Amino acid sequence: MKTQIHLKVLSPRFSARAFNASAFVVFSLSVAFYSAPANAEKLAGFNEMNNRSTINGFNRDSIPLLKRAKGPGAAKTARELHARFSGQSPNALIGPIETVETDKGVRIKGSLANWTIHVKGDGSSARLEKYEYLKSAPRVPRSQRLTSVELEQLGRKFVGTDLRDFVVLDPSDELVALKTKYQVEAVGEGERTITEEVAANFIVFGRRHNGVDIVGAGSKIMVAFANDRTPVAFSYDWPRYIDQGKSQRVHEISTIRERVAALSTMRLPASTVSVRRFECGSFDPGVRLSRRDDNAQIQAACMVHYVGSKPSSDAVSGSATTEESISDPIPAGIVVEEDLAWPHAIAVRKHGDVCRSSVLNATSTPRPGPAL
Amino acid sequence: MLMAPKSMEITQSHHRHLYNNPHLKENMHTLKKAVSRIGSLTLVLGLVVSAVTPSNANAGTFGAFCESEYQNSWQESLPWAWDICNGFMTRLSNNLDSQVYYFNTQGAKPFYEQANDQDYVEKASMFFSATHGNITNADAKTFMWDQDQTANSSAMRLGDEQTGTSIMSAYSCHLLYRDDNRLWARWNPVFKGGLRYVAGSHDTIWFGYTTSDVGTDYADNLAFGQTIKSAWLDGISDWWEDQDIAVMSFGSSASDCTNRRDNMKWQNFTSYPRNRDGNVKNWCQTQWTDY
Repeated sequence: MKTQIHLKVLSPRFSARAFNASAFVVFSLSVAFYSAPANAEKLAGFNEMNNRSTINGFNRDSIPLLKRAKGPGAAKTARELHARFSGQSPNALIGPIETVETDKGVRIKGSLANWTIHVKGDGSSARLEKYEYLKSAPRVPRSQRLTSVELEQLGRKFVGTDLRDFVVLDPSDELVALKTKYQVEAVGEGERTITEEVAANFIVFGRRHNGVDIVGAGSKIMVAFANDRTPVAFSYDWPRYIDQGKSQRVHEISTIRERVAALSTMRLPASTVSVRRFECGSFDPGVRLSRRDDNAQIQAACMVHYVGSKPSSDAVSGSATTEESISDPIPAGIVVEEDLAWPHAIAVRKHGDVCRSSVLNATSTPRPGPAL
Repeated sequence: MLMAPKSMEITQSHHRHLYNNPHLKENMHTLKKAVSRIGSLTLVLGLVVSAVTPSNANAGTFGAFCESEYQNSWQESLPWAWDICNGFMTRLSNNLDSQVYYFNTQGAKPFYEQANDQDYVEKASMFFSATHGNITNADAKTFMWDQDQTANSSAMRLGDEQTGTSIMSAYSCHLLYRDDNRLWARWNPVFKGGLRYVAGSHDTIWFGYTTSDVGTDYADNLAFGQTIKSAWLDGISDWWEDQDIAVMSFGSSASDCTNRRDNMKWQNFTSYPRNRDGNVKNWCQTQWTDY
């Protein structure tokens, strides 16, 4: 079951180029639920966040402003992860290692055994993978893949035991199961698919901090299991949050929608436009994002995932459609706090809540020239 | 089951800040200049040069065609496409791989397709792109700036020119969709030229502020020696966005195909012989999905 929000665009087609400042995007949101193939099965925690956000926004007047505490350092975390998992069976990190430090973090790899530890930024985000194990692990048909219920149980146990020193939950934190994914290996000959097997099962967790969901890549955990339930990879971005001792008042959902209309990168011109996801909470883009303001506070935002579709003009097969998929973190605070990297926040602070051509389409990265 | 005996001796080697040092190229240039000026010391200084060179014995060539804007708004703009591509190019350049081309897609359709691919796309081993993507029964279609223009897989044959593309990495939607059993039809013409690998998406991938680093992260993983498969999975995943990730290879047999898909790296792709025409028999695709 997937939640889909249909945007009813009442204004005529307009694009970023053709946008007329006098024309305000008026749209309404209506919620519809339908069964559709989804490429990540959303779990109850995700659906609850999505539904609450869509209907009621934050469902509260204000949220606490937070900051990410400085992490323990990439090198330290890398050493500790290696120590933690090098002696553990059945999928231990064995063999000689090579360590590389870069501006993106610290990497340790098993030079013979094909495993990798990658600690990012200040050490609050890390990834460990040993997908090599999947080569000898059982493959199963779709019907025998790990269920989302079992994946959640396995994942919670792994986070609570193996990751307990790296993913610390305090009483104000709640681990929220968000979605599952499956690694599907297919082999074919011509148009025929010879084999299609599930090789690995993924579960993703998020975080609710003092009752507020963390949206964005920050505070997320992925754990991957082989079909024999051996963990083969995990990834986390899990900071300690420092409460700033002040709260941020947030807009009601109707005003948030207006801000979405004004700030959305996609200008909603496609034949059909829908919102796949809509989640409000404290926005933490995670340490992995290089274009972030490390000094900025974690503040209110609603993440909006739009998909616009339009028929292709392809003459041979006119049935084709193009999808344009954009995700935007829209600031939701009545007063938006300073963030020197988040373009949507900069736009609101600079221009206020006005109707304007998307300032988000212009980025500082230059466009290369054409090949002639 | 894999066990780690506690007595296992672990050796470590540390290469700090070498392969990502932005000043390295400049220093290298200075050193090489000195070598040319002092002929009698060439050998000695040559040794110095090799001592500071990052361990990238298999330096490769790469290029990119990317797009963010579309003529007469025939497709919606894709903000952040330049960030994605620029990040990819910069990161591989820092690995001392060589950038051969980097262009927008204006007038680029023939440079993707067999007609004129020798002019650009085929001049580098790694071809990276970020733009809209789509499929029809016959084609995986990559969208150009030019109105109504797409580069079509049925007209592409990569890997058969002087350098020849080996790896295509496309941050575009849908190109590796296979649920309609048309994957072979769309891609066998491309691989029959000897192309070794494609990384892409089987459905939807996302453009936005929070995914602007995916090119950098992918390139970083490649440079570090991860398999293309895991480099692409991690590079474009943050586990918040619902990225529909897929990779694919073709082989002369099922085992050849899976071996390529699962083990090929930026550092070892040349060890996999090119399969062309009649040797392109099996396809192997991995996708991360929920059915």
